[in-house]
Amino acid sequence: MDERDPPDDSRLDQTLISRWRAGDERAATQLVERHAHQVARYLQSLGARDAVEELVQDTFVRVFSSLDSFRGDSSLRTWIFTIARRLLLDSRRAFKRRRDVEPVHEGDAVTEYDALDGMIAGESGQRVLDAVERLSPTQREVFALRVGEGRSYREIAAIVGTTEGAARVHYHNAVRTVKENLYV
Amino acid sequence: MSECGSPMMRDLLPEYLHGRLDAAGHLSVDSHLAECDECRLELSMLASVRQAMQQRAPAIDTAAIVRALPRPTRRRVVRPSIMQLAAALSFLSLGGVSLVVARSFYDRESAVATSDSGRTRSGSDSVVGDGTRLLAIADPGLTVGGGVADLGADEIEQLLGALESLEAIPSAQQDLLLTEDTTRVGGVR
Ligand SMILES: [Zn+2]
Repeated sequence: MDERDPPDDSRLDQTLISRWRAGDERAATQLVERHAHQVARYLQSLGARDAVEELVQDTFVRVFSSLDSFRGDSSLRTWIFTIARRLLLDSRRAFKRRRDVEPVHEGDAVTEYDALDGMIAGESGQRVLDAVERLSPTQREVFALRVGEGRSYREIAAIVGTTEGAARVHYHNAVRTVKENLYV
Repeated sequence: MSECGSPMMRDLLPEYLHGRLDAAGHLSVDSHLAECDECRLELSMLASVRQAMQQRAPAIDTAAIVRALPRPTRRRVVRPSIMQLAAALSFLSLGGVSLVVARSFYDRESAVATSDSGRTRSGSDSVVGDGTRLLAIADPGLTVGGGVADLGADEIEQLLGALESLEAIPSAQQDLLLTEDTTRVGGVR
């Protein structure tokens, strides 16, 4: 397992939250380190390219400001993903409003995408990501949550705002499409 | 290549990949993989997707995130100071009958405590002066709070006033008055 990928241990999260509430600020560091990289990956799978780090930071500020409303019905990570997703959608809406006023130069986005691709090591990794990129946005999101982050259908349903059954269907369609994109 | 005969096992591959199955679940996927080419191939595809996503992930400065976080807001615990306790509770022995004069400082401290202090067991406690609650405790061995020496001039005056009023209460009633309030304060010490 990747060192950036600590297991989703809800009990440990609860302990850390209690310690943070009691004034232990080191618990905050541990909580951030346990989840920040996953949130970044998830936002990226949603198509967030620039300002991912800023979005991750905003997400954690929001998370820590509203920890009192975290009931523990879902795992902390699932809850954080839900908040990250909402912030991304909000920022997109704000971006769209700005764009309506001020035209965007298409070239900027392409350059950013190329720079991102340069970070990928190995051709097979690139091929795989290309295959995933060709999924529909919903399929890609569900697929990334399941394969990239190991979320259950139930958690995906909570994050995306759909049913477990729909999440399962999206996942299986995504798997089939990725295989077709890769092997055909 | 053999076709997968167990959609249920196939459905568990992402959880298997992330180590999110319990031991029994992990073992059953293991044994299914040993005999299912299709699932082995799918698992290796899922593993390379996962790896590619991890490699693509942007660098995140977690220390910067932590610096931007709000400070924990400690919940204020209502706990009376020693002085408040001393002023509020004083233990006296009066001819074998133990008396506790408890000024209901909770009334000032918190709404929760106020509702508690109103919930006396006998419902017949007497309020003397400005909210000074006069209680007789049946158990003479129960020691609560500090002594008279801890009291300020005002408190002593109140106490004397309270004792005067006490004389007006029939002695039978004195024995009955024990509040949950008093018990709780005793427990705080
Ligand atoms: Zn199979």
